[in-house]
Amino acid sequence: MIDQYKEQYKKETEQIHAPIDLIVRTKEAVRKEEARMQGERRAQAAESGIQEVPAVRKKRSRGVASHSWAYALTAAAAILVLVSVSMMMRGLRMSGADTAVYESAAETEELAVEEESDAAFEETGMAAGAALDEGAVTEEAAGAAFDEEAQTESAAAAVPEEAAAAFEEDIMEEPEMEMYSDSGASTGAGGMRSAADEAELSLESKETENSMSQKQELAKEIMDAAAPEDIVIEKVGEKPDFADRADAESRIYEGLAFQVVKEKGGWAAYVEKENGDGYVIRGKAETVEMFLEAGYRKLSKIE
Amino acid sequence: MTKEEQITAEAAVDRYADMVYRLALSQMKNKVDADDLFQEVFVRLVSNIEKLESWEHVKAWLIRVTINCAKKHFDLYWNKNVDFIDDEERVRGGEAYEPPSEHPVREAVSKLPPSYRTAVHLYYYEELSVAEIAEQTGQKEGTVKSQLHRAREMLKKSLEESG
Repeated sequence: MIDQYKEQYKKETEQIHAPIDLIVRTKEAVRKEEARMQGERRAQAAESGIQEVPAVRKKRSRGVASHSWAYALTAAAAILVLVSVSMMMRGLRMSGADTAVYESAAETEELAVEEESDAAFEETGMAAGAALDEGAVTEEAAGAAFDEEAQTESAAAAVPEEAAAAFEEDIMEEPEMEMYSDSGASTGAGGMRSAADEAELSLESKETENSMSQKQELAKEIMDAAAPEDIVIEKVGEKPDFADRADAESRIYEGLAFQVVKEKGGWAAYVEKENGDGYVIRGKAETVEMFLEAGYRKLSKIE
Repeated sequence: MTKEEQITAEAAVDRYADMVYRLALSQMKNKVDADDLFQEVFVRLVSNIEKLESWEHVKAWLIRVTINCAKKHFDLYWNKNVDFIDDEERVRGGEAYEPPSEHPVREAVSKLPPSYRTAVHLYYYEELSVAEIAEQTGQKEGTVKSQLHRAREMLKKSLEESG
């Protein structure tokens, strides 16, 4: 059949449609047939005692039954997965326990290292920077460790308990900061403490400076009290008479023996230098020491 | 398969009524026989619908059963004996079906032997392959090819004669 006739046959055939009344009658016949079949199935079910299953459900159940092995396979796979997961979780727990043991061991080792370092620090008095880095808590632990160390040491040395207690009290009375600063540990429990150390050191240095300045002022006052201008030194060939008087007081100053007497308006002294030259020193001063100080300084200038 | 596409006999009637009716009309010589064949095919479908898993299966089943039912109809003793009677006499009290004159090709096809009509209809209208036609009709592919070849020659001659 050539294409022309083919297309024409298709067009002509497509104009044919099933009559509607035929379709209606056919559907009625189909329903009757379905009802008849259901009646037969009910009768068969009543006879066999099996409950009737609708056509659609029966079809589905047949499809399910044909793949029932899939459910068994799925269940087996699920059990396998559960078992593997439980095994894996058990393994993780075991490894977690091992890790905990290792962590606790590590902590113990750290504590031991800290205690050892603290003990070494206390014993040797050297800087234990690592222990200081741990902070104030570590410092407190260091103090406790120090107590224990001190007790141990005292017990080992068979020192009497009272002496050990006194020793411990003495050490406890010493500020820790002072110990650390003595050991040269400028680091450690923070810059706050170091700043406090520095502040205290600066206070101490200031106090020292103040005391020095006070001493200098005192010396200046002494100098002022017995200034060399007020001292008169005279070289003599013979020992003067006042040196042998009963009220003459022998004084040693800077290795020289001075025979000092009190006179009107001041002091008088006779002294012989290493070369045998004798000198008479006269002058005014509040005390004999100030007089000797001023006299010696002026005498040392004389060659 | 969704719920609206659920396979039932009534849904099959709605979907394939025209296809079955055209095939039945191409097999039968009158509308009454075609109507009977139409109803018989769908009633049979009710008892076989559970076995069919897709609409393609339903379509193939309907084609095969329509052809078989038509063949069975012609195989009846009475139909065999009245084979030599004119078409009008073959009609059992029904109106003889003649394709309209404005359908010359269909008219020429309707004059082919039944087996040839089936092969031509399935091949050119339903667009089935030779193998599918052989499977549906229960014949060898060579037979189907031969039927199609002869049907083309007869149609060419008929159409050329009709002008």
